[in-house]
Amino acid sequence: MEPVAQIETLPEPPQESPVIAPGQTFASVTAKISNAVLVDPTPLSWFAAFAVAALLLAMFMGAVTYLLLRGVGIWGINVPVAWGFAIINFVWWIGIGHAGTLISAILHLFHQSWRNAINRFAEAMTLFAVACAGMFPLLHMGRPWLFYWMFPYPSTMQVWPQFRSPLVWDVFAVSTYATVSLLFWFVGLIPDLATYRDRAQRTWVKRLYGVLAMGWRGSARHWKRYESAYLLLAGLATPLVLSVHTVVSFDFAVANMPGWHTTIFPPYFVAGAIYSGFAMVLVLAIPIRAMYNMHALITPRHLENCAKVMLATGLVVAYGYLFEGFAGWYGGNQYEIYMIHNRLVGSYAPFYWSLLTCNLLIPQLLWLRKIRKNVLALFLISIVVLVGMWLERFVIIVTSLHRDFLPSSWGHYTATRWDWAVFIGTLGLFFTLMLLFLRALPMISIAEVKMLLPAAKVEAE
Amino acid sequence: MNHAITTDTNIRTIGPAVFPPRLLTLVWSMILLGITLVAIRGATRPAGFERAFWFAFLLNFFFFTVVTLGGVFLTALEYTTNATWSVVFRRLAEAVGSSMAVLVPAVLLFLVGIPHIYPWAQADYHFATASKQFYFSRNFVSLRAVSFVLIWFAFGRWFIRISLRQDRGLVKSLVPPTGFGKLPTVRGRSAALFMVVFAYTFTLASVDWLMSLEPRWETTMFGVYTFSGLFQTGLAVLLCLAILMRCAGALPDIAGEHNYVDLARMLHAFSIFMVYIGFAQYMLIWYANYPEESEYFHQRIVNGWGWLFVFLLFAKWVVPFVVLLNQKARRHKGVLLSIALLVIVGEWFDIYWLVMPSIDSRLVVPGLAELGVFLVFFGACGLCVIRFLQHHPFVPVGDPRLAQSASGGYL
Repeated sequence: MEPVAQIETLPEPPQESPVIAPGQTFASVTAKISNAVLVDPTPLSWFAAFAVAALLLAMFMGAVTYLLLRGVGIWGINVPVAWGFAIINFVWWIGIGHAGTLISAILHLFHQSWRNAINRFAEAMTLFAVACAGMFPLLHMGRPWLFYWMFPYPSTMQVWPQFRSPLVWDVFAVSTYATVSLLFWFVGLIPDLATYRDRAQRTWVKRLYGVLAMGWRGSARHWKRYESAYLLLAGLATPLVLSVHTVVSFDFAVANMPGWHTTIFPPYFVAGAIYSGFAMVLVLAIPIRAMYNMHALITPRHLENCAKVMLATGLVVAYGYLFEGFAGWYGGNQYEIYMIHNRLVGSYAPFYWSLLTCNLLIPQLLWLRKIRKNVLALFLISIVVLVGMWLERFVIIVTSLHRDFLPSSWGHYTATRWDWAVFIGTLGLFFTLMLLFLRALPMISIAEVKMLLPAAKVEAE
Repeated sequence: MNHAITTDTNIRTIGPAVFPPRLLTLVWSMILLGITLVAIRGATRPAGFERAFWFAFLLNFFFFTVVTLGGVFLTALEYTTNATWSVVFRRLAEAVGSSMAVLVPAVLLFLVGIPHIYPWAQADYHFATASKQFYFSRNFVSLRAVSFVLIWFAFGRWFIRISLRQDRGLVKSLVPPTGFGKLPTVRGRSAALFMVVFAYTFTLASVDWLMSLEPRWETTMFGVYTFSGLFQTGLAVLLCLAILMRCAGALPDIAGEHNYVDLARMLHAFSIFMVYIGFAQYMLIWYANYPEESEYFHQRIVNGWGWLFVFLLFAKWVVPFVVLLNQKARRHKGVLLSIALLVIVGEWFDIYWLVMPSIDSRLVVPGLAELGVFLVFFGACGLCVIRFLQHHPFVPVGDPRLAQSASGGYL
């Protein structure tokens, strides 16, 4: 028993590395973020990045044009691997989008105010990633102009979606998610758009931001309604973001296919999505803070926290891999065992081993604080994770499909140059949209970052 | 109530909890009553008593693993995430974790019961593969069971130890000079290590102790399912304990309204997590409809077991979800207590629902054996909790975040 009298000193509250660099004021934050768009000359690095992204976008346009002229036969897909790159890239992009909503909605509900500096561009990232993801199922349809057949509209031709197919669930899950994310993002933007309106120099720019700001005057009543709308949307976005990747995992898990039909897929897909999403957040945040000199607002603490989330979700993904293997052995189903064996030593084994290296091995470096504090290392590890998560989807989809139950139906899948052109092209689309966003809208939430300032912490005594 | 303890003089006056002496008498009589009930069951219906006893033992052994490990898990969670809101409740979580001591003798008893419980422990049972035969050999299973419990117990002790050392202001020797760090380091790292170890050991324990009741059935979600139950129950137990201690006047008001509300919110969130995991597992098996997979759930829905299934859905999700949506309900201690109790009862019946259909194809209500063993476990754990709280300040007085936690400064 420890007598209480032994308590000697009351320890000091722990010193955390700041979420906002010292010396910032309300005025300096507003000036910093709005000048980046309205006053300062656009950095040269922006133009360089835009040139590359626009070129890739042009390649995407070209590849899609050719695809529409010739049909999906130009891709490498064929029976038994009819899903190929289109679904791999779809799942990859949707996954990337998850981090934005996690940061903006879930961390908001958990009172994690450090997220205020990174939620805006992370949400933009979500929207653009969902846009890229949406391209793939659309193009994979072969006749994308008939996409509306997916909706249960009153049809004169008696076309009705097959509601038992998870692909149809996807249509609803993803479109709902995209709508709510857009709304959430836009509502968050309103006060900042009003700031831009008030600070814009040219009349037409003022008008443009003015229309978008929807008459925001910053009155107490406005703020009150804004806060509750924002909270409600965060509450709405949270189950949606979890449901989207859950439904995406159903695409596989409901099928009677070795390597796909496993009950852990829903949470494991969600964790994997957040994992790759945070990697993309870091891949974007690190250059953005350098490009626009935002080091005071996006501090090492942000990068470290993102790295920690990445490590945690990476460990969940590792758990998924290991127990998938364990269950294969435990269940003793010959098809499952063959599938695992095929992954380990079959024709796609190099993909599987690189996936383990990228997703399991290298991210363990994040246990070290030194690595989490090293911006370059973080950037590189994030790219490795992005590659790893793409490989994961490749392995799940292709290795399971290319070995059908009957050896006579076995096949091999190789992506063609058009597959690659469309995939890399969507990277161009993504980065082009992202760069345009940086150029036109507040990349960091002005109103929310101000809440992090010590001056905002004056308590009502 | 806010800022109630921002001065250190206040914190210094916080001592161990004071319980009325008759509480101990009550707990001891619970244990005795439990033993008597089991004895009555054995004497009145000797047929099949052995099997019934061991199944009741497994049920309660797993339930109290979930409860006590839940305490250790929540402590570790606070350390890994550097959470502030839960600091005022941490000593209670540690108290629950301290009752893991009960599991150490219990697991030894469990080893005795293995041949009475599991089909694979019968001499004439053969697995399809030699490796699985080895995995489920008596010695290997026993080794795993004992080492899991010892690992959890060791971590639990270690967390309590560093927390109490911090109380005495000795923690400086454990923490490197300030700077960038959170206070942590040692405890943060050991908690992170625990999280990884816990994920694997608890999953394997769930597989060994519950899933292998149907030796041919497997689902990759099983560990996540039992974990979601553990998380939810851990929060519910903490909430119960916090409210009961407060109502009994054993604790002065340190925790503010907001701490309880936050705990209730966590319970709300992880009730959703529970149903999410349960739904995903059930739906995927139902949809794919493999006979060897769906048989497990079929067995647990027919012959009356379906009623229990529906009850679980309500106890663990519908009721907590709907009630805790309401802001007023989250602030009402009576409502919170009832919800927390419902969740705990739900978890007990969840394990009941996983275990019992393996011996009885028709729904059976819990009998004297289940109740008796429960009382013994409950009493033993209660003794540990009471003893722990009687000897240590009931909040971690040395934790630098305590004042912030109690005043709501983290919001």
